[in-house]
Amino acid sequence: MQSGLSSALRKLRERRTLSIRELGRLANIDHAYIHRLETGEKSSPSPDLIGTLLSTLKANPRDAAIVKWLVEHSDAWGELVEFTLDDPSVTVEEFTMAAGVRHRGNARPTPALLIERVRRALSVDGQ
Amino acid sequence: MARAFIASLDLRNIRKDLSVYLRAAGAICIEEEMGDGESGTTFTRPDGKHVTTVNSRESEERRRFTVCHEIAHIMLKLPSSHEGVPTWSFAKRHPNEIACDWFAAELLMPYKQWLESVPKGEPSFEVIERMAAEFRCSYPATASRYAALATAPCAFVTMEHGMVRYAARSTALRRVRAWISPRTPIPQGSVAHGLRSAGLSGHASGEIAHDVWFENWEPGLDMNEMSRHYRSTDTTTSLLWFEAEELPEREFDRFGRQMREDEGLEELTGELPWPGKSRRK
Repeated sequence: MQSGLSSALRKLRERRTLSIRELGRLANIDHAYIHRLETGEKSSPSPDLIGTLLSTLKANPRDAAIVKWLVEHSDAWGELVEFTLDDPSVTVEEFTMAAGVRHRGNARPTPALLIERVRRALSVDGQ
Repeated sequence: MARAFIASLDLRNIRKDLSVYLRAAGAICIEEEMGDGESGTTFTRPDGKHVTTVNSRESEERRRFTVCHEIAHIMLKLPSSHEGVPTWSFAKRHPNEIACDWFAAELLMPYKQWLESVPKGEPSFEVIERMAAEFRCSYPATASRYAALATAPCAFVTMEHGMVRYAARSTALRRVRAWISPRTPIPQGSVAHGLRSAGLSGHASGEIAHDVWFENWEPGLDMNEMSRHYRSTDTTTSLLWFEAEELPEREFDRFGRQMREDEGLEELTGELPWPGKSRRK
């Protein structure tokens, strides 16, 4: 099943136009393991392994912080992760707030609407 | 948990204003127009404050319930599903959402206040509507609370698109394992079935055989059903209850098996059961 972490790793690899085998060779990591991470079959990579993958993928500091957060929260919504990685204006703080949202009702907002609401929630005065 | 949360709070004004709960949960509430089917969301900010947004397009009763449901998510630390459950789905509700609804019901209709207000005797549309108006809750939320806190054997069933979605049962019904299965069709012969088949919004009540709803019981008893159908959303609700003295007595062991009355040893006839006749020959 696609998780937030698997979506992020696949997205960052595709951004570098690397195949799974190429990434495995460059990072010196078993490509089968990378495949399992990208399909959600494995979800708890070690910090060292994630560090190696992120440096091989040349992830910027924001994307790297998001991926490291996702290691601890692998059930995050995949669509929100992909939207965030595509929109550099979304901060890590905004993303983690949106990822932890609780809903009531039968419908769910789009990732864009969710981020818009997070920004409004951040601007509301505390009581 | 909900009773512990409200135990030290001043609840005198909660029928007009829920800010006492919001303050206790460290939450801020804002209202804005949201999409169809969205009732509310809660975000937790880095400063630890929770910001709950409720859909201003929904009724006041539903908005109040949403605020309390969101407070439940905060206090119980329960996440919600990323996928909405579409109204056409026959899926059971997520356990987290059911837990949050129970919590919200306790906040809106606190146990002590409820017991002081609820009239003795049998339920009726008038009783539920009066309680709903008093606590500023919807009819289904109030009827569900009525069933859950009733001393008489009582259940409240929510149905969508002709299928049972959820049933709340009183302690007396839970004790005798009266069970209504979710994701099953509305049973034929029930008041709810007749009402929905008519295809109009409305309400009706009547006396029916109890095994229409509780098929795991021996037949032979009657029960009351008070049903309401909302055609626009194809939602049906039923309040079911027995007269207290009509409830069959059933006992269960700790493994959930029904215990039968001990029939004791067979009566002695003066004839030994052994050896068998074939051996005597």
